[in-house]
Amino acid sequence: MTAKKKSSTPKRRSSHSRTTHKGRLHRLLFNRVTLFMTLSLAIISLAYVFYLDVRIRHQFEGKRWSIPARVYARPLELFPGKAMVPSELVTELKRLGYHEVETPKAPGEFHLQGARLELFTRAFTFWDGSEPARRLDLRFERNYLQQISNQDDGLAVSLFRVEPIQIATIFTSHYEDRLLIRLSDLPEYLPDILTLVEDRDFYQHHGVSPKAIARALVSNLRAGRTVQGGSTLTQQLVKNFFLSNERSLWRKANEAIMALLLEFHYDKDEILQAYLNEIYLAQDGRRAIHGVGLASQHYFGLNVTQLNLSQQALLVAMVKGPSYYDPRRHPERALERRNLVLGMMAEHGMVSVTQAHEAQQQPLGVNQRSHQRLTSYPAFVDLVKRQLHQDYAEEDLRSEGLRIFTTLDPAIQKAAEGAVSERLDYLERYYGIDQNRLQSAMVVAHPGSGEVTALVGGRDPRFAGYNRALDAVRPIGSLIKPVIYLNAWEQPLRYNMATLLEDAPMTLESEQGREWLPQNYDKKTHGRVPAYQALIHSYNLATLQLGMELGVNKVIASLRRMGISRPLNIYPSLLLGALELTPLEVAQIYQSLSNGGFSSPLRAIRAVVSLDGKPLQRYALEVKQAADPRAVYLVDRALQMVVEEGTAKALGELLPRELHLAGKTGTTDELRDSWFAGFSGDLLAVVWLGRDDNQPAGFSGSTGAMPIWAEMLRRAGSEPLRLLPPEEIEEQWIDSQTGLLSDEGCAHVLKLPFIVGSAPEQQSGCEKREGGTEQRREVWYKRWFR
Amino acid sequence: MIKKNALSLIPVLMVLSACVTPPMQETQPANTHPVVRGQAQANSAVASLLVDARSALRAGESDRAAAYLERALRLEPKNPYVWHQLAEVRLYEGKLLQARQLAARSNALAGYDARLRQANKSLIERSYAPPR
Repeated sequence: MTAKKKSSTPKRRSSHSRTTHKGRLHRLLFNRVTLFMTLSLAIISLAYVFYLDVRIRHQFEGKRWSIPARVYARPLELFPGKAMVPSELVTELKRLGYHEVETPKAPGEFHLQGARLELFTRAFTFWDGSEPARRLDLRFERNYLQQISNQDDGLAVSLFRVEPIQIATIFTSHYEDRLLIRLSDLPEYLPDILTLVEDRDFYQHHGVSPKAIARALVSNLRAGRTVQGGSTLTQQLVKNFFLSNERSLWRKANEAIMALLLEFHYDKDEILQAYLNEIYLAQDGRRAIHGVGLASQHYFGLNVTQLNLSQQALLVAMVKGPSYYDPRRHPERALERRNLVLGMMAEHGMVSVTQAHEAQQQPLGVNQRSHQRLTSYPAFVDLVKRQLHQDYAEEDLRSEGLRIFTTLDPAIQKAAEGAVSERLDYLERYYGIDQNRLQSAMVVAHPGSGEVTALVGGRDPRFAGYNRALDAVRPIGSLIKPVIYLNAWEQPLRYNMATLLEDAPMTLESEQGREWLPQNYDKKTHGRVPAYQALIHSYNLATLQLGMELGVNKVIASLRRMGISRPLNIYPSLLLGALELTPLEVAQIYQSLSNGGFSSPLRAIRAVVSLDGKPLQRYALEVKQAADPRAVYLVDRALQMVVEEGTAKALGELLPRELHLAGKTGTTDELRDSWFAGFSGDLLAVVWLGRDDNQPAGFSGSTGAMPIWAEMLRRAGSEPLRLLPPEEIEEQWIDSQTGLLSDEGCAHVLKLPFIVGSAPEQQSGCEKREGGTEQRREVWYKRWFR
Repeated sequence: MIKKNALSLIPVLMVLSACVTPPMQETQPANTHPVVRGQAQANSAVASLLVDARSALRAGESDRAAAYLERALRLEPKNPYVWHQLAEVRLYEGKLLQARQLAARSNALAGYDARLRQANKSLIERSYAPPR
């Protein structure tokens, strides 16, 4: 194509300069390049609109939940030889809705007579098989379930499980709960009040309302500030989907386009219903309350269908600004706006003036605290949800009617909750602390499998708020020490339980480059002490010396192997517990210590099954060797000694010694945090006690968290800890003062385990014990005659 | 003389009372469980689960076999035979790393059972063998 010369153009009609410009304009418009650019712009815009379309439809479809997922606790396994008393089974059966009758004739009935329980079970399909309904005869004796037989054929039953208790109903495609409502469920006025106040032309516009924008503009100009918004309900719905504080022009433009797209795809009723289920109406701690269904529960403790006129008006009034018009925090504002809404309703003839007047006289009717009863175990279900989102594909979670089988043990959960709330109340009363200042969290798990059996997120277990067990990140103090000693004892040629450490003052450099003089809890120094003593009495100085010899990075490497993935600072202060973890993470560390050094990720879900019975990807049991089992055995023995004679000695007054518990106390600076981590034969638990405002709670590990731990264990009941020494472990008599090899008859000796080849070879001088002379001679003779 | 007779009765009475058993009492069930629970004696339960697991694995249904074994482990977490069986399942499934870890777990609990130790050792060796 030949380039047109500027000087000659056949299109020029006159010599007027304006025509020249017009001509130029024409040429500009129809120029190929311009055409190309316009076309590309159009394509890009179209593509962008298409992208927005996909996004908004994805959001909309994703929120159209109908059948929620059922969440189950662990099923109770019954077998001859189970340590159980009849009342425990009866408690479970009652929770399952079983009836106590004279003679069980139908599934769901039982009869208890002394030590004999007749049971007609209900059929249930688990994720890995089913249990038929059958009539069973169970005999108990001496705290054991001794015998199970099938009443129909007289045959013995070696194992069966009762159906699991359903603990929650959740919508799995997002974190927050919803109380789904359908338009037809709503009370008479609510949808109309909404459209009246927020979007008068709702049924006329196509997503964006120029009328509303104009109206808003006029009102705002008149008032001199923003008093009205011009957004339609559709636009507000879009805004709620992508909740963001950003109110830029770009954002608004996007929302407008998406609103138009929504109206293109869905009808008015669908949009209105989605709106009423999605609108953000309240904040409950960390939990956002969306939808009128949930908001009714939250504010009034009522079902949305039960709301009266003034309550409905209040809900709509809050839409404009749930925090600004929060009826609990700003009751006057809320009341004013609610009455304004009621006035509008009368103005538009929705209700009579008398009705409106009456409603305006009524108090707000809002209750003080929300009592969410969607789930009885919000902290545990919170963990379930997080693990679901972590380990399952989003599409799978959108499926309806999933069945989620969890690891929760309701009996242990009850014990944990009771221990926490009673103990905190007691401490506050006894020490004259302000009510509700102290807080606590607990994680209970099964050592062998890593299954979380109970989770307590705060002192009020029914309150679905801040989940301290999963989110309170606190310095762990002395709880780190066993990991340091573990690391040391994994090097048997250098360290053993009797290795002498120097518990002496040292000066280090802190992170800020200043001088740091660490101290022991009792402010004393203890000179040369055997390693085990430094651990069981939690000596800071000796442990710090050991840790520095090993290297902080080595200790961090151990933590990583034990399942801690969060970023950590490689400072020496880490060795004294200046690292912050959640109670769940601490439990993860102690899980491998309680399982012979084999780490299993703590999990709350056993399996998820779709509505048609197909199991989704299963949470298989996995182990990973995180530490040398021989060194772990030594640490476990030391942790038992912590309870026998160390910092957790007081536990012996709270729980029977035959349990041979292992544990570790932890206290942080100025008594801010109180920790206790410990395990028995079948139970591992971590307790944290402190204050949300991070002020000193005033309790050490053994006076704060430990008694809560003990109370939980007392209520739950537990098997004694039986440590099985791995191969290559031998026992030797050691002089506790010198750390050297000694003999049974000598003074201040004790028997310690050693990895073969690591025991001290040097003999200690032997002070005879009282009456020891005779013993020593006997021993000598015995050896001679071997 | 009466005294002597009476005294001589004592050993007789003692023997008699030893032979007499008290009347059968219905064992009163405890209202609450003890704090110290007895160790679970899950032998027969675990045995039947092991049998089910083995037959499931033979039928090629490794998922089902694993489920039986995990159930058994919940009853007896320190049973080295169950850990070994689970290692076999994972080996079958080609999850070699896990198979080795599970075999190591079994070994850590095997104590002086030489045969089991050998079985775990050979399992670990097999996991390093090239795939068929």
